Amino acid sequence: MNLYTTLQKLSVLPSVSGREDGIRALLSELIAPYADEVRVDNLGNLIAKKRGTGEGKTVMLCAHMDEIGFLVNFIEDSGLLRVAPIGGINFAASAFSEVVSESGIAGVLVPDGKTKPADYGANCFAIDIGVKSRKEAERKVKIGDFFVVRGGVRRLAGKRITGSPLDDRIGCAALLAVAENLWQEMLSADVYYVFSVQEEVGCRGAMTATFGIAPDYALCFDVTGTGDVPGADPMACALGKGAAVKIKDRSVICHPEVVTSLCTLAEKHKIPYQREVLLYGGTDTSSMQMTGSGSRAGALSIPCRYIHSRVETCDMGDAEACARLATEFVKALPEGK
Amino acid sequence: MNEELKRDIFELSGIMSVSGFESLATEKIRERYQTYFDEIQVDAVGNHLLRRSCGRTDAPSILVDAHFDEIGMMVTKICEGGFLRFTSVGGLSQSVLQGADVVIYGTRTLRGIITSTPPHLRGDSEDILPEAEELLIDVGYPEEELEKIAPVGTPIGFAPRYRELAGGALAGKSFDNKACGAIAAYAIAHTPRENLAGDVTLLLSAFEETSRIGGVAPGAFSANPDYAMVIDVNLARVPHTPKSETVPLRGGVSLAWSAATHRELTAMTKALCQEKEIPHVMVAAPSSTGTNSPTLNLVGSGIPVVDVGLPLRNMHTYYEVIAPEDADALCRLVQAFIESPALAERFGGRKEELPT
Repeated sequence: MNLYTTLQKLSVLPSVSGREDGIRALLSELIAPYADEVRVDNLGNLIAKKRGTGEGKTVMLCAHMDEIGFLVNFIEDSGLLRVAPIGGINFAASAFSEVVSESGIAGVLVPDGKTKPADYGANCFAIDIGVKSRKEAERKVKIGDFFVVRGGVRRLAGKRITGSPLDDRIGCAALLAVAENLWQEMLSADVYYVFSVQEEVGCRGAMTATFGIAPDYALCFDVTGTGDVPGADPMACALGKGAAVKIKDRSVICHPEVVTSLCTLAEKHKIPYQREVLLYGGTDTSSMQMTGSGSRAGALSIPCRYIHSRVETCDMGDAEACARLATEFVKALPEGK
Repeated sequence: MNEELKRDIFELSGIMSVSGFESLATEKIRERYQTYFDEIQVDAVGNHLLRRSCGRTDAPSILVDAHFDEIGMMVTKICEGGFLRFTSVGGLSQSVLQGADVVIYGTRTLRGIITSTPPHLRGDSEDILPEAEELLIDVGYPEEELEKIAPVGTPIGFAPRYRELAGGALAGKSFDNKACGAIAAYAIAHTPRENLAGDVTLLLSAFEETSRIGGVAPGAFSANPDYAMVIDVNLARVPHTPKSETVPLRGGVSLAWSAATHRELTAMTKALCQEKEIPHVMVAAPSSTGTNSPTLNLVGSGIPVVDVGLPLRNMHTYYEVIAPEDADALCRLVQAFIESPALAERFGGRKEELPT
C-alpha cells in the first residue's frame, strides 16, 4: 500500500467527532486483508485483530479517525447557518474556508465583517450554503447536522505534503501500513488495530476500546506540534527528522519502558527518530494508559505544522519512519503472558 | 515520632518519582518494604501495590491510597552554552524556581541551577514571575555532552535536602505525598497480622500530580476493594494564607466532608478518631477534595472512600514542612482504620447493599 495514495483517499471523507460512519466503512475495507477479525464497538470504534499464538502479550495500536468540525445549531431567516465548534477549532485558521456537510452539502465558512481576527469565536461565524431563505436552507440542512472543512492533500517539495485533515488521517494511514507489514509475521502477541472515534472532544473512543481489549502495551499514532516555524515555543521537534517518540504531552507521560524500547529499536534498525516533549495538546495515549487496569502506553507522533488548519503540513518520511518503528516495536515485544 | 518512621519519610521523599517515572522506584520500594508485605507489585501505569493479607478467607479487602508521584520538571531542549530548556511536570510553585538547586536524572545524575535575572536587570518586570518554560537550567556542561547525558524528556527534580527544625517539624521536598506513603506503610507494616480486619492493599499510586484521571483509577480497578482511604497532604496555615482554606499545623489529621466521598464511612472514621483520641479536624470540600478521592469513588461499580489529610506548609516547593504530631496522628488513624471490626462489618463484602 502506498501511504500517500491511502492518505488521499482518507482525507476527503468528512468524519467529524461522533459521525465517523463514512471513514469507518473505508478503513474497514482497507484493514480487512491484514486482520483475522474486524468489529465495531458500541461507541463506533473500528477494532481489527491479528491473532497471536495465545502465548504472548496483548498490544493495542490506535489512531483516531475523527476530525474537528462544526455543528449547525441555528438557521437565520436569511438562510445563513450558525454553528457550534466540535473540538479545538482555531477560528482564525478556519475563516473563509470551503466546508462540506456529512451528506455532501457544500458551503463556505465566513466571519462577520466587523469582528477583528483576535476576537473570532463561534458567535461571529456563519456558513453560507448559497440559499436565499431559512425555508430553502431547511430543505437541505437540519439543526444538528455536521460540517467539516473540505479535505484533501497535495504535495509540496520533496516528501512534504499539505492539506487537511492530516490530524489524524496520516496516523490512520501509518497504522494501516503497520498492519500490512505485520500480516505475514508469526507473532506470539495478539495485535489490535484500533481506529478510534471522538478523540478531538476528549479522547473518548479510546477509553471504551481499551476497556474491551485490556492491552498490556498501547501505542498511539497522532500528529504533534513542532518548534521549527517562526514564533513557535521552544521545542526540539521538527519536520523531516523522523518518528517522534513521545515522552510527554498535556494529557500523558509515557511509560519509560516504552520510550526506551522505541528509541533503542530506532537506533538498532537505523530508523530516523526524535524525542518529543509537547507542552500542549492531548492524545488517545492518556485514555489507553488509564482505562481498566491500565497499560504500558506510549506514542509515535508525526510532526505537523499548522495543526487544526486547512494547510496542515507533514513530511511523509516521518510517517514512514513511524510505521517502520511501530512494526519493529510489536515484533520485539517480550514473550509470554 | 520514632526515628525509624522519620528516616522512612526522608528516604521515601528523596527517591526520584516525578510523575511518569514512578516505575523507576520499584527496586527501592521493594528493598525497603519486602520484609513487611506479602507481595509488592508494579503495574502497567507505574502504581505500586503493596499487599498484606490477614490470613483469613472471606475477609474484606481494604485499600489505602497515597500517591507516590511528585512534581518536577523535564528537559525540553538542549541549548547553546550548556543550558537546558525545561517544562514543569505538575503544578510547580513558580515563586521558588529562580536560583533553585536541581538534580537532572539523566544517563548519569547531574546538578544544575535554575537561572535567575538579577534584580539590577529586572526593571519594571520585577513583580512578574517567569513561567518555567521561560527559564533555563545552568549545568555548565558542553552541549554535545548534554545531548548524551540528558536528552529531551529527562526528568528533573529539586535537590533533596532534609532537616529537622527546632521544635521537631520536618522540612524537605516531596513530603507531598511520600510522607503520607511512608506513614501508611509504617502503620500497615507494624500492625500485627491477627489484628487486621481484612486484606490490606497499600496503593502507592502514580500520576496524581499530572493526570486528569490519575493512576489511582487503574490501581483501584485492579485492587477492587470493599472500602478505601485516600491520604494526601492538606494546606497548612501560615499567617498570610486564608483561614477558610487551610488547616492548622499540629492540629492532627483532617477529614473531609465531600460529595466525592462516602458520608457514612467518613462519619465512622471520625468516630474512630474520637474513640482512639486521635487529634483531627473536619474540613468541608463540597464538590471535590482535590485529591484522588473523587476518581477512586467512581472506579468499577463504585468504592466507598474517606479522604484524610496531613497538614503541610509550603506545598510544591523544595522545603515543605510537616509536624511530627500530625504524622503520629495519621499513623494511628491508618492503624485504627485497618483494624476496625466495625468498618469490616459495615462495608466488607456487601458493596451492592450500600446506598447509591
